Amino acid sequence: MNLSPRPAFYSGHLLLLRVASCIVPGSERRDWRREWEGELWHVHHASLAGGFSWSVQFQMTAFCAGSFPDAMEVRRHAASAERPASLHESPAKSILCLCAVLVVCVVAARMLMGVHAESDSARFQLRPALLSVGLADAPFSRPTISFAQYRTWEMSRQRYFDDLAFYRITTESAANRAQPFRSLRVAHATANLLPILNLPVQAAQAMPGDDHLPALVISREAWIRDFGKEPLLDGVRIRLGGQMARVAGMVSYGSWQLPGHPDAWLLESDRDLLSATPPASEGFVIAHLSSLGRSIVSSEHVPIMDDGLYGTLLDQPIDGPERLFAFALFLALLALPAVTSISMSESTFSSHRPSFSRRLYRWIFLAAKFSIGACIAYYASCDLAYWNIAGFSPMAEFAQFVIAFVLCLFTFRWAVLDQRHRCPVCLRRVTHPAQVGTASCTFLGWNGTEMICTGGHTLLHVPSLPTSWFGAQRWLYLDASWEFLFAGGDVP
Amino acid sequence: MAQDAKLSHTAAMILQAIGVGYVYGFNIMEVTGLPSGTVYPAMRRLERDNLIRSRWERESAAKEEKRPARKYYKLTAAGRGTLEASRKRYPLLERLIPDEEAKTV
Repeated sequence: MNLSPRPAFYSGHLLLLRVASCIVPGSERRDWRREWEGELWHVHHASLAGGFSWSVQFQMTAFCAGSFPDAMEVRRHAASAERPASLHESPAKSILCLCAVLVVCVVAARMLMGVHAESDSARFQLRPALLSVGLADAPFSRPTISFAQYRTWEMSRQRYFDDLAFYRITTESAANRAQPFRSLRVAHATANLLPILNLPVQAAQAMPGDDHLPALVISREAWIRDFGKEPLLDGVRIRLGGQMARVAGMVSYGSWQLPGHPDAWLLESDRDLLSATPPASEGFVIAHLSSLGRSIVSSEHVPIMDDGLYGTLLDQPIDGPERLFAFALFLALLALPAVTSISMSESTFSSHRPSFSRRLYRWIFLAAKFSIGACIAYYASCDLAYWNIAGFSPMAEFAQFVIAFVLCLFTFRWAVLDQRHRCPVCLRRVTHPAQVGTASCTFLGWNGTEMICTGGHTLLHVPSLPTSWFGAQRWLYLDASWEFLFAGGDVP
Repeated sequence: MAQDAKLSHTAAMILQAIGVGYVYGFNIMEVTGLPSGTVYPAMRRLERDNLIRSRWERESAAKEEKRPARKYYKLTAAGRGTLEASRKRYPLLERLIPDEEAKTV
């Protein structure tokens, strides 16, 4: 009875080849497997001469493991068969690919409204020293100040505030000739609300003054959602519930900080507001701190009166995508040496050095990869972080920071690694990697990977195990002097 | 590929092995001492560069010897020219794999 484990190992080796064959493109798989299984049979047959030995089985396993690089080589070639030869691994191709990715990211950033929202939130920030006044025990978004109370404050002399505005939110049905009825959260506001906030109204010059209709300023979000981004909306008359109003423009995303999140602001005169607003109806009061008021404010929540009223500061600074990215970029550059060696490994086996123009060209190429990579990281981080936000979101800003840092770090790492494997003469990537030597012979000779430039300029030697005498990769320039030294037949 | 094309040392060794009569993967591995993960991909590249050509052994011949058919490699005319150029570039090549050791199939 034969108890040798050899057949089991042989089956295991066949299984390894079968797994490796999955990498090979289907059209070449049958032929590839036939060759490797045939070769394995002969390797196995050669090993039958001796008895069972673990070292022989290990060698056979190593033989089968070699099928994986071969399968990947076949696959790589199949994938690159369609590429134009002139562009193969050339620097122009790399730059073109990076530019193509950048264009996709930029186009996506232009199309995603969330990216505009974040950008506008940073660009159009509220005026400093603004407070939203409300009851201390009520949520920030709940209206708590009655119109009568606001009128009392407005008519009395204020020490800590130099301007006050009021608005209350109602849900109104809105319609014009072109658009059917839709429901909007309308803030009926005093006419001084937007000047206090210092928010620019886009197309504000279209605000008419001849028909005495109240001005309606819509939010950008409502313009997109409810008006279908209609470009000619300014000056259009709209029926809001029982009254007419004229669209005076659109306000940017900076309005996110206002409590109540209205879709539109109906700016009414004091007379209209007095006649239409019941004294007990509750709304929000926005106050601007005077210089005396600013001098006593020391925290985000300010007790402003004795009857339990608090003011919440609205002007929280927003960094914006550019500043966040700049910080992420700075951190990524600091962290780069931790993920890869930043040495360009200029050491060579010979004293030959490429010309100054070639070296300059090489550094320009590296700088171009870094620059385009950074731009890609900026736009891709904005696209991914802000694609679905309607206004400012602290979480989205954090996400942008993390994504930008990771993308910068790994794009720069790729740029450095790619640069190290480019021929210093023609900047093409070296190719045809070949494993030379074995790790067990490190003492007597080097072992590692040898790659050649397809233009025939250089050989690149990368040691597998860095030693004191061969620690980093080295270039061998295949120039005329190299041929002269080694071409003679009398070299021992 | 031109005759003066510059081959890596490994590729030149494989070309030399095929040139002197080691015509299938396993014995090229044996004579060069290179692992399978280097020899087979290198042979594919050499074949792609039209320096060597492969052909399958006749099934009947293999069946007679009760073994699977093998894929044999041989040099093309361009491969012979490149091998000559490589021998000049790597003079030790012929000493590493001399003709007289060649195994015939």
